[in-house]
Amino acid sequence: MNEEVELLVFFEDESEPRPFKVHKNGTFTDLLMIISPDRHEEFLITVSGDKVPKERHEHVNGHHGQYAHCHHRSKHGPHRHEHRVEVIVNGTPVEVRYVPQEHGTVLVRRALEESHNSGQQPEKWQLRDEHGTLLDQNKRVSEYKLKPDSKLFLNLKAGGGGGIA
Amino acid sequence: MEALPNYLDPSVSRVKFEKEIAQFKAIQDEYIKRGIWLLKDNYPTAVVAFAKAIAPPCVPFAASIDFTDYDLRPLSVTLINPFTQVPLNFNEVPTHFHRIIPGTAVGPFQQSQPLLMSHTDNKPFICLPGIREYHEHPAHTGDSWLLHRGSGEGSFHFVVENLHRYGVEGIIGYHVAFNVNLQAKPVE
Repeated sequence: MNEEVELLVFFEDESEPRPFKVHKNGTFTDLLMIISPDRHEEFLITVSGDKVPKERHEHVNGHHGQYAHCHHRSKHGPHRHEHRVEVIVNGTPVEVRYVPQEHGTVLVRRALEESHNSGQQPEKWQLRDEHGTLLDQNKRVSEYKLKPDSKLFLNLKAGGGGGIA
Repeated sequence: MEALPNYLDPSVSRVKFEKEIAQFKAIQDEYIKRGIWLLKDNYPTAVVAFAKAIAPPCVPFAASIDFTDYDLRPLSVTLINPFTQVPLNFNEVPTHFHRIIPGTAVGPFQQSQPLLMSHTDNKPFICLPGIREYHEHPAHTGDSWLLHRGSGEGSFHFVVENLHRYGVEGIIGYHVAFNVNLQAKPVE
């Protein structure tokens, strides 16, 4: 007898769902702990067909094989950790929300989504501050030391060219 | 400068010119702070000067960016004197747009390559995908502009950002050299 329940979870920044398995006696908190051990409190789960997020103590049993959506809490209302920063994406300014604990890659994906830049992979973009300093997207946004009026620049990496030095 | 032949209805490239210049002007204060100064925008050409805030500040070059046939063909870049607007020869460009070669050692052994190139005619061009002079060079027939078009590469913003990044950001100061020789007077 199968002791696990599998849900196919869609994330905001991804087009394909990812499968996650929880013990049949597990709750949605257990599922969120598997998805994001450090930041599970920042997310909510809805199961396809439901408009209301699942209660965290509710058991996953009965949802085997169903599609679920993992949402950031900030999309469901103000969040005390949420900030906003202006990101100039290939010359077009967009306002992007972020949580300081998020990695730069998440902020970049969100900026590309907001500016409808889907032609290039996120890895092909470089994030810089106003002084032109290249920011490591694998660091947390809090490490960028952003101020309320900070602006970030997201530009495509230039391809190979040039001559021999 | 030589007139470029038209492959595209100028009304099409004019619309794209006006759109991209409007996008630039929408955040022009940001560009000015960084030393990217739009001097002129008369279709099909935009002239942008590039400055660096060292002491005293310098304006090493400007670029005349031609939108003819854009974006069936990429933007064409001619480096010019920011004051006279005369095209610069290769040896008149004060910076050669050096870029770090990815994956090379960090520190004093870091390797770089110049993006500024020229042929025997001494006319400089920027050898970078997204710029017309790169794609129309015989050595790059395998890297067609049409593979890059519409992806964000080669936009007006992309071109000025990269001219600024490789042409200006690397400038850290002035190099002053003295030539000391013995002075002697004729003797009887």
